[in-house]
Amino acid sequence: MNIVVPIKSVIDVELNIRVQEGKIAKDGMSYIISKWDENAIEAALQLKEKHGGEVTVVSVGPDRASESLRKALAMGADKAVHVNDPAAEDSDSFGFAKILAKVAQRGPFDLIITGKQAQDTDMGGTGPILAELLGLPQVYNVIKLESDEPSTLKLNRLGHQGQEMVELKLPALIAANDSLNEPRLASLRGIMAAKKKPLDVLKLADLGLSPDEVGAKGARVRTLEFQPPKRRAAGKKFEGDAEEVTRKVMDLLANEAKIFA
Amino acid sequence: MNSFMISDELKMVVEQVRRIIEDDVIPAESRVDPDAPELAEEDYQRISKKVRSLGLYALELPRKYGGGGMGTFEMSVIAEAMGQHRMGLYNIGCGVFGRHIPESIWSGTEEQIQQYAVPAIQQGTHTFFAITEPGGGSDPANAIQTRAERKGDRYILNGSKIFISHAHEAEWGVVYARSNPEAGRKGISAFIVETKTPGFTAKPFKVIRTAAIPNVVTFEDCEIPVKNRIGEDGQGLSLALNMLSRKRFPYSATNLSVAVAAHKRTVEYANQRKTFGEYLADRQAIQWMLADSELDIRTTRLLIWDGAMRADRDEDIRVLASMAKVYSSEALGRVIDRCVQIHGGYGVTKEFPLERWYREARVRRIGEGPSEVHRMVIARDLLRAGRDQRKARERSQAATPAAR
Ligand SMILES: Cc1cc2nc3c(=O)[nH]c(=O)nc-3n(C[C@H](O)[C@H](O)[C@H](O)COP(=O)(O)OP(=O)(O)OC[C@H]3O[C@@H](n4cnc5c(N)ncnc54)[C@H](O)[C@@H]3O)c2cc1C
Repeated sequence: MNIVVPIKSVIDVELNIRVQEGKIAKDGMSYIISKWDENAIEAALQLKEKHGGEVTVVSVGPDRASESLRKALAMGADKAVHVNDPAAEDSDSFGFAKILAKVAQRGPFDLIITGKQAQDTDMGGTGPILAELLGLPQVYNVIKLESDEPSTLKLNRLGHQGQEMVELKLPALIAANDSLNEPRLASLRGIMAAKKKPLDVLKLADLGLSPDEVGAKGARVRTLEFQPPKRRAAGKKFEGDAEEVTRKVMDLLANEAKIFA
Repeated sequence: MNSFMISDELKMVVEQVRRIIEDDVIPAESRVDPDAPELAEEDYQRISKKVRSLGLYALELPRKYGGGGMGTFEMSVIAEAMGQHRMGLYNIGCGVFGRHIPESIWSGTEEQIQQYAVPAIQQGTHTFFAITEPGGGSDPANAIQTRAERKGDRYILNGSKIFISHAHEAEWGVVYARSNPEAGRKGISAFIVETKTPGFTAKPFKVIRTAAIPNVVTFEDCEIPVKNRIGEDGQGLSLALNMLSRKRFPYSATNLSVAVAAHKRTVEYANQRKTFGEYLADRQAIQWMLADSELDIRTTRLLIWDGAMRADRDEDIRVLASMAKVYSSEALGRVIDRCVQIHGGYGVTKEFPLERWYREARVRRIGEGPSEVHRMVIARDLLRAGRDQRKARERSQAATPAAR
């Protein structure tokens, strides 16, 4: 089973985010693989371990994205493709999906696994558009995955009201929820092996894309402004008789914070 | 100074270590008493097993003994991530990545290494290192009174040691004793001593530090086979000196790790806590403390990394090792003191790790050679050339009678 996993390198949210000229400052930050993409990698590796085949990870982004790709190779992916082209920067979901579709079409594949959304933008647009561009069925927000034979997946997906159990014929695209699995850490052996695995670096032209189709120029969604979250206000401290304090806190939660409204 | 290149591989190893600390070690730590010296045994076994399955156990151990074969620089970078938890200073990684054993064993024979060092590391058992005596620790060459008397194929040990960490829970340790009372510094030998040896007792006592509990150790006619002597008779104090110097860099990086962890929390806290209607972060008095801590942390890191890289290039790093030791332990003291102050009362509650870091940091300026002894090493090196010249001049003046 050949599986393609698009991954996004995002700012480590543990760190303080800075805003410069209406955008999140990108320099001097540390980057990690978006967390749902780690679940996607783990799912792909488990399927590969069961049915054989290859896992290819793909990332669109500047130089630093190669670090995330190496990390995925260290976890056990076989090949990586890095689309590193300044013209791809500031693409919207549609632009990224166009690039990923071209990468996926470079070779035969049975399955694409994405995270259900990116950890930085929470947009969740790229996966569905990619499925559309490739004419693939898609199952989103997968929390359980089984596969007895390589041509079909049995999936549980989390809906608003409960779980939906579906059977999916491949080729297809699925998107992982973080409860799907526990992403593995990279072993020392995997880390040392990663640098010997192939990592192709491509430009847009290599994929037959012109710079105005994607990036800021091709974007149909444009970010006008970015507002960082408000600084957290200092907490309140209550002391005294437990019953009295509880009553006071409940009153404030109901009438001031209006959490039950 | 060379710029520091951290390879992608090293970055990834550090990231895995950081995740194990955050996802496994810290939650397990929160389930034991804030003063506990160790994790609960089942947590230790579970996490350590995971670490082993990832090949991240005993990273500094040479590959031929089943370790990760990491160098001094790599271990220093890794230690900065590994010590960022409550017990981190004196029980780094809570031991799940392997425990420290006395360096001098590596000067032993292959048989001694196979019999003692390798199993201790692989099984994660405690060991001890006994040099300090009631008569003093800074100057062991003069202070050591414990006697090792040769009788045929054995040495008979008599005497006592103090402040010996882990001796009550160890299987063996390295003991320094005087085998030739006439030979001064060259009369001290090192022995591998099993704690089950008749006549060996270890009595733990309480200090400011609640990890790695120290002991009074006594030897009453302990019979030690000659094959358990490390190196030659009289070589004790010159064993593994190079290794001891190298190990000061990851040791210093542990000081750095705790300073980094404490500082990170404090920067966040300053942006949350309000007094007199303003955030602490907006007070210059607080800003200056934070800026000073940042300076302390960055200078410490540069000092450690520079020395560690030189160690890996086999340069003479004895003096740099002393510099890293003094500077990192004192910088940690300053940083943690500011962090406690900025946290106010919360800085000294046992709810947070700051209190434990503050207490244990104090020992870092005393153990492994007090600051004064390391400053002495640095100064001696600075002054050696001039002093030699001065002495030569004095000698030649004494030889030629005054011209008057
Ligand atoms: C918690 C803890 C655990 C320890 N664990 C171990 C262990 O496992 N094994 C072990 O062998 N030892 C251990 N030690 C002992 C430690 O190494 C000694 O405490 C240290 O070497 C200092 O020796 P001392 O306490 O006898 O002080 P002294 O040697 O009496 O020195 C006292 C003070 O005098 C000053 N001083 C010393 N020399 C000079 C000088 N030349 N110039 C100026 N000032 C000087 C220093 O400020 C020093 O702190 C431990 C100590 C502690 C506190």
